[in-house]
Amino acid sequence: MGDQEDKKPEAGAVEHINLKVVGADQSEVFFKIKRSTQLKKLMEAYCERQGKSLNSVRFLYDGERVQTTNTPNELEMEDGDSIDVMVEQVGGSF
Amino acid sequence: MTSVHPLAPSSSASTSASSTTKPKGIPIDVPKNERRLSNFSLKTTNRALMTGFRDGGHAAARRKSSLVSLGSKSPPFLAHKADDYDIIGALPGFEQTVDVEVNRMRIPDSRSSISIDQDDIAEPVTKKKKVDKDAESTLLLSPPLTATTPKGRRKSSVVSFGSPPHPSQQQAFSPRSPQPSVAFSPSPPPTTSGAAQSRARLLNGPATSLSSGRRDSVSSLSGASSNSSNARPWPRIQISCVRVGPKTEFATPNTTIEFASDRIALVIRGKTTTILHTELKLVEYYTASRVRIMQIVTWGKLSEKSILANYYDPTLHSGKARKIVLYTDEDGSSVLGQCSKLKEKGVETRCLTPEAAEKLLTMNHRRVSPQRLSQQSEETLFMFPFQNLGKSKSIAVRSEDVSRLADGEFLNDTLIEFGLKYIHSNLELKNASLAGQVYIFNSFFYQRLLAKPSKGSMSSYDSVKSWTSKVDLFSMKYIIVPIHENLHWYLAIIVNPGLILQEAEQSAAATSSTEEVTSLDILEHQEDVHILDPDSPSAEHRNEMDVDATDSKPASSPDFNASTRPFILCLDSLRGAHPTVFKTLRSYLQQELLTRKGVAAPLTSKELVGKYSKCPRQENLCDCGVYLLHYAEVFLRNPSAIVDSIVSKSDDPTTWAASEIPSRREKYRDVMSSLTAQYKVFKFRQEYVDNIKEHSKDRRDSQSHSASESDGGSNKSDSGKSNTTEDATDSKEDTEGNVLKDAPGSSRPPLGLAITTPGGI
Repeated sequence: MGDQEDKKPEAGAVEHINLKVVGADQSEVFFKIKRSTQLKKLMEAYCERQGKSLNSVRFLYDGERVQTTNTPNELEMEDGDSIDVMVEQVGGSF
Repeated sequence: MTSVHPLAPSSSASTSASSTTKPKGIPIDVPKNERRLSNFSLKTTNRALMTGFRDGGHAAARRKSSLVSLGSKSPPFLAHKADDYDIIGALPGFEQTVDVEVNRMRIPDSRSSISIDQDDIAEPVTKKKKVDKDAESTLLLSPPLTATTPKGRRKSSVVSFGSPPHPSQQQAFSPRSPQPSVAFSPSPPPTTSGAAQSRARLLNGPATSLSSGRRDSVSSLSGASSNSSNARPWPRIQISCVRVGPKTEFATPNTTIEFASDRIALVIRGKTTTILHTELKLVEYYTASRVRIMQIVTWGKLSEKSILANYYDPTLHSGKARKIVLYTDEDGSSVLGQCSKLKEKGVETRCLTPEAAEKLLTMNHRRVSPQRLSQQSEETLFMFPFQNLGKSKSIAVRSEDVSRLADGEFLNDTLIEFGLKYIHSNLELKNASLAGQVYIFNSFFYQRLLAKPSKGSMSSYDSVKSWTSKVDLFSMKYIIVPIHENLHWYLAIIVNPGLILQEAEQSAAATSSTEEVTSLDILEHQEDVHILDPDSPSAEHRNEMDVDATDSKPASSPDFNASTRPFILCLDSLRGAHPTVFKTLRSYLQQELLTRKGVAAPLTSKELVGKYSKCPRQENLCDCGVYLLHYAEVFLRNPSAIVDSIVSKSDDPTTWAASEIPSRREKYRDVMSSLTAQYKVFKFRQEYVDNIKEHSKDRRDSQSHSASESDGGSNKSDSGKSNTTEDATDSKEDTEGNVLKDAPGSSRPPLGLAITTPGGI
């Protein structure tokens, strides 16, 4: 999994969907993932790729946080949907 | 343009290249991994080494070449060494024009650094000579020797600049003449300006030519200089991530580790940390994995100036990290090569065991330091709410998040989101109808609204358009928008957004003949709301009010109109003014109106007023997140009263129950620990139930199976299955007879508890 821009619509089109992960800097990384696979895999692959820690970023799908245990099926994701990556926010004052 | 960087032997040529070019403002836009070389000729007479990689600096090549240079016994001039790089130098008094190829590197950009404390990282004028990236740091270079002498065992090795080179070192360091004064060596204070100037001269152009006279003056300036300070392309390994301890990692681009002959230099975000070989206690490595690992332990602390000094301290009980772990994607052979070279130099090196390496690779990036919490931060303490875990609506809270509830800590987005969800879920228990009229955005909503629109979309609205695809904002009474800006949390509440729709439609209707249609729409829309809470009186009430308002809004109920005109309420514990918030939210609502309702109506400050409240002010610099949650909770206790008081401008800190604020953190800590416990129980039950479901399914299968075989066998297989059920659920083991008795009941959890989830508190 986690092949960038790996789009092969034919092979297992039913099983797999392509998801776009959009970083805070608008960079886009494409993932192909099984509908029944936990998105944890995608998140970890993305973080590793970007050199980020999983704890320091939030993955949002339609404005809701994606949990590591969620699967595309559970979230009713469709092919080509995008997941937004946001960086942890911390605030006290200033 | 030239990257002569005479001063720092231990910083790599690349560092110096980027650093020296930077001040000149020459944009160097070179794609990663494709270092370009620029040619120019440089006349030089001094002995500064000009070096550059031709091949883009392949690590192996570099190593090879550096070996050559290190090993050579001061030849006056090193000819082109194969294809690797050039060392160009000259004996004193010898003038020569040479073409120098300088390795040009990308200017390091320091974005995307994670989990790095931004607060002032001390300029690492570390224990050694290094060139930093700007002129400023050039000046810093010289102070010196004192600064360059690191604490601890450093003394044994002679690495101070001003002092005459140690014999052995000199050998290692200077490929050429032993006494050569090095023009650009970082040297005692007086040189600073001299060195900087000379460098400036070099920078200024290819035609720089230093006469021997000048050289002399330079050398006298630098005093007893050692060749060690010559620029040199130290073998270098790109590091993708440096981790110091559980919580801190540096994952900036252009992080490198360089291997000089007597030290290693870690360049992070343009700051160099040097560690002498004598300082190295142990270097461990692992290269069999895709990501190679190097783990460094030193004898003593790092210099205070090091970027890592705040996080790393190998001495016992300091509470700081005791190892520096480097992760690199580069070829394993270069890591191995460097480690074996370190070994040759007497540094203890060893290969990590696969288990240890795996631990490092899979190590959670952030763990809470021992003094904060004993648990690992990665671990999800609980999900909230945990009733509908399958959906993404719940939020995972980790122990690291909870540790932010400690006094004085800043709250993060997870806590804010959790807090708002928690408040909302409590409201659902108390006043479901009101809860149904409150919509809570997460803290990233506003950030995305403010962000520059991504390429291909017209406005930033597009980036949040899908967020509300399943929600009708205009059926809500209150929309809560937590805002994070510049390390500060505050809250915006859109009051009565439903009226925006009505007003907009009315104004649209006034100018067109589609009044019938729109009011029909409104009625349907209200019907929807009604269906949501069919039994709740307040829904009824609201429905009436709305109908009232639609029918003859201005005339029939002016009071009502006055008090419920839609507005945006901004609650900032610092009482800042936030016109941008009003503007941004107005524009968002306008587009939302157009997209979801097809109503194009301008929303200006007339239609949607922005209001502030005299909410309690925060008295410290860390509690704004707590105040945000407090405002939200107090507001939702009795929203209409607060709205009234704000409209009538009679609100004051007492409206906001300021007295509760000091105990907030503690209250949330209690909530967290109780939720953690509840979640544990919930998980346990869930697993238990899942287990039972699975087994009862198995049993059914086997029952039907054996039933088809023979009636008599069914009981037996039944009992066998339920026996495994018992085992799996960690209950007592029974005899077959007992199990037979128990079996019928085992499809329900024997705890005797309903499988209800412990929801809100």
